[in-house]
Amino acid sequence: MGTILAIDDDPVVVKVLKVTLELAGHDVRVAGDISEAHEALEDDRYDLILLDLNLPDGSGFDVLRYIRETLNRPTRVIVLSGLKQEHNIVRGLELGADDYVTKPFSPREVAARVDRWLGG
Amino acid sequence: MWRRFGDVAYALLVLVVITLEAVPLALLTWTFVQRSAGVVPASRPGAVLLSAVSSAALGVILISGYILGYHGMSARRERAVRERLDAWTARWMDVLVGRAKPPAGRLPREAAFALLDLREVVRGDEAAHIQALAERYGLVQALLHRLSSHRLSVRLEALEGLAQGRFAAAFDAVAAHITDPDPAVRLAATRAAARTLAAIPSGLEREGAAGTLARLLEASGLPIGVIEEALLLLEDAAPAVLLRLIVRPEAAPASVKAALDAVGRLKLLTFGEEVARFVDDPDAEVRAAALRALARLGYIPQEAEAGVVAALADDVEFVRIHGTRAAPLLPEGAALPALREAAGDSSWWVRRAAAESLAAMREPGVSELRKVAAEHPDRFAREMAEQVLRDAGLLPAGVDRRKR
Repeated sequence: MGTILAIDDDPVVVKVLKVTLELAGHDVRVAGDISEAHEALEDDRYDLILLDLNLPDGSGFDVLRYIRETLNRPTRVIVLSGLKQEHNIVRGLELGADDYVTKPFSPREVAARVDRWLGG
Repeated sequence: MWRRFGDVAYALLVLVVITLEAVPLALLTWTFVQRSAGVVPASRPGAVLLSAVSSAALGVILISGYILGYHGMSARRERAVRERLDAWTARWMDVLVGRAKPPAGRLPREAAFALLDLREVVRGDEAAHIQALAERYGLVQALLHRLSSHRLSVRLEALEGLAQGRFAAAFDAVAAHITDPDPAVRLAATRAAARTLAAIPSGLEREGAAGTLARLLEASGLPIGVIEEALLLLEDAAPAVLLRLIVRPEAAPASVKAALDAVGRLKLLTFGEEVARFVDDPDAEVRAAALRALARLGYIPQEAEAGVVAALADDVEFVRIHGTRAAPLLPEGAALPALREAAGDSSWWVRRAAAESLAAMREPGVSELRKVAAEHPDRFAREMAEQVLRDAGLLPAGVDRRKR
């Protein structure tokens, strides 16, 4: 079981993730935009990050770059985005995402992927 | 509802304020006229002026108070609605994961919206569960009923709900509004129908719906951008609709153009041969769309190669631009001479596209671009090639046009 940071501005998505992952025994924290994400990432360490790409104050790709290049952390990152085009998926994986799930998503599938990456 | 009545009250208030301003001003003007004629005593204009100023101040206070009150109340109401939505979302999630039973009786408005919001973000078993809940509470019927309202805002809200819910049973009713006289309804219905079709599993039902949507999109008279957006919203169901738009010989050029652009954006490689048929279409917009689609697909079927080469010499500038952008995908023996020729085009945009295409080809494209920069008989071609080489950091150090 791990500590997960969900970076997403959609309260419905956040609620679905919180309920699903907390039911699976994870501790889920939330950041609604990039600045909140930066604060959360500086203050705490997470086992896994669920990252939306369309955030109100910028692109999730920038957060991904920040995690990999600035913080240089090997934290697992699953991109959870409505961007389904191949070039976005490729870019996300190239920037260091471990997995890419498109919205609408299956909560069970996300929970299974989280468990897999956390070795649960 | 609050905003609607709030707007009516605001309109009435503006009328009152204008009256409070206009009547005293008219009275004041009349008093000054009377004073000029010596009909009223000298003290009268001062008294009327004081009344007019007081009346104007009252108007300003009234309208300011209303605006402040309106926004304050709106914010409070919106916060309350958001809190109820959040509470219902949490409750529905508990239902979905089996921690709570579905509520009994009729659903409040926020409960229905929360369920639709959830349906929008999930798929799989949870989506099927939400679908069953929506049917149990008669949500689809309620939305379809609202769709026949005479009020535009109610119809648009119903279409938004149906788009979120993506209920297969509602497809025909939603699609019927694609040809609605009101353009806002046509737009919302097109989006809702596309999203609904995307959620219909492949099979006869999807094929039938795809045929309906293709026919209605052609008949809707919607702008090309809207049709293309709808095609992109179709996701996995897009090929079924695209095929109908592209294959039909009598298809309108606007629909074909939107379909070709969607093929490129969705990277539907299986459509390569269909796209190839339009490279030499009589309509320049369609030719350009086909070339753009091939460039996005990343390959040119053999039967389209001659058409792409011919496009570089097309009479229409934007066709030549798109032809030039697709040309690097041609076999090397055809691409290099065609792009070298295009590098000397009379259009700045075509020259730029040709030089950039050569640069993007790496070797032997870059060598060819260097040759153009050094040897092309046209000065503009040489300068463009040199500029693109410089922009791409491919110009050897120390080379400067001014020194040559």
